[in-house]
Amino acid sequence: MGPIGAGIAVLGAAIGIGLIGYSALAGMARQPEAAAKLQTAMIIAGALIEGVALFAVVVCLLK
Amino acid sequence: MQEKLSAFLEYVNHHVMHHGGSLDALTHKTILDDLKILGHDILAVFHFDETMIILVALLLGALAWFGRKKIGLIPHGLGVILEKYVLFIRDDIVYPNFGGAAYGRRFVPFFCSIFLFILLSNFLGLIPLFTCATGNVNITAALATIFLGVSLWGTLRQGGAHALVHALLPAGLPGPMKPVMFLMEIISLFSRTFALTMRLFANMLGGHVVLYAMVSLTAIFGAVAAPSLAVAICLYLFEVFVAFLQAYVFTMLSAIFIGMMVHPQH
Repeated sequence: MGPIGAGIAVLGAAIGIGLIGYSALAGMARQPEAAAKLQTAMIIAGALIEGVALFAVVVCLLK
Repeated sequence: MQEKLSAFLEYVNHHVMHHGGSLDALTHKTILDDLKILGHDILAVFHFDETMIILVALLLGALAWFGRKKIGLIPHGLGVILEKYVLFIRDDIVYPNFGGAAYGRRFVPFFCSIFLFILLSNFLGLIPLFTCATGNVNITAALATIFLGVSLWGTLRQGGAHALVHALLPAGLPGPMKPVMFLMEIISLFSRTFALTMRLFANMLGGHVVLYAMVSLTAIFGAVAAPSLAVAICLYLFEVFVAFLQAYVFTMLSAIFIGMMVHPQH
């Protein structure tokens, strides 16, 4: 069951990171002068999502 | 030919597999258990995360030793890089999250050392035959515990007992809500620490396990799986980027969390 759980965890993280990338890109296209700030915020939000996903994967691997 | 290939793959298996070995943190051996291994396999000493930690410490010490005379009114040589690095940590990571020099100044050295420590451990892990110290849950847990201590002790030192109470219990709450919010703040403090541990550890270990899986495809399928080596090289270059990113993310998130506790407006 472990690998299946890891796959399901990745689904959620993929949706989250995709939404972040989508909105950050839209924001940068509308306001190129704010690109640096948006990029920092994007990386931080990505890291937070990644953390939750990695929790799930580690729990799956440890069984 | 076939024998040479299998001997090579045996070697790869032996020297890459240990990256996955850090996962069982409870049965993790210390260097003292295996000192005898020095006798017949000198490279094996680099499989130990303790060796990596000592190596990182030596590198950081050497950096400080050679950089100390180059810093002055007009820095030169290594001093220019060090000054640029400290200014980056100060102006891009610490001051924006701490609300300026008045609150953030005494925390700058902590973030400078933690960033460089994680970056060097990540990079040493990328050298073939070396293990990745940050891919061991014990070491990232130690780093996160230091973060926990700094966030509590730093709040106490910077703002006094009043600031610590304020950080753990937001002002202006109605009476019955106070214990609930206090419990929530305590839980969030510990979950942040746990999240910092797991993020760094799982990222570094995950990258190395994926590399191992890619390389071991050649061990399973032979020459047919040669393209997976190209994928492994691309993943390796991606890992160089991840080494920077994870050091930045760890430093940035701990700056945000400690800044939230220290800065009175939050």
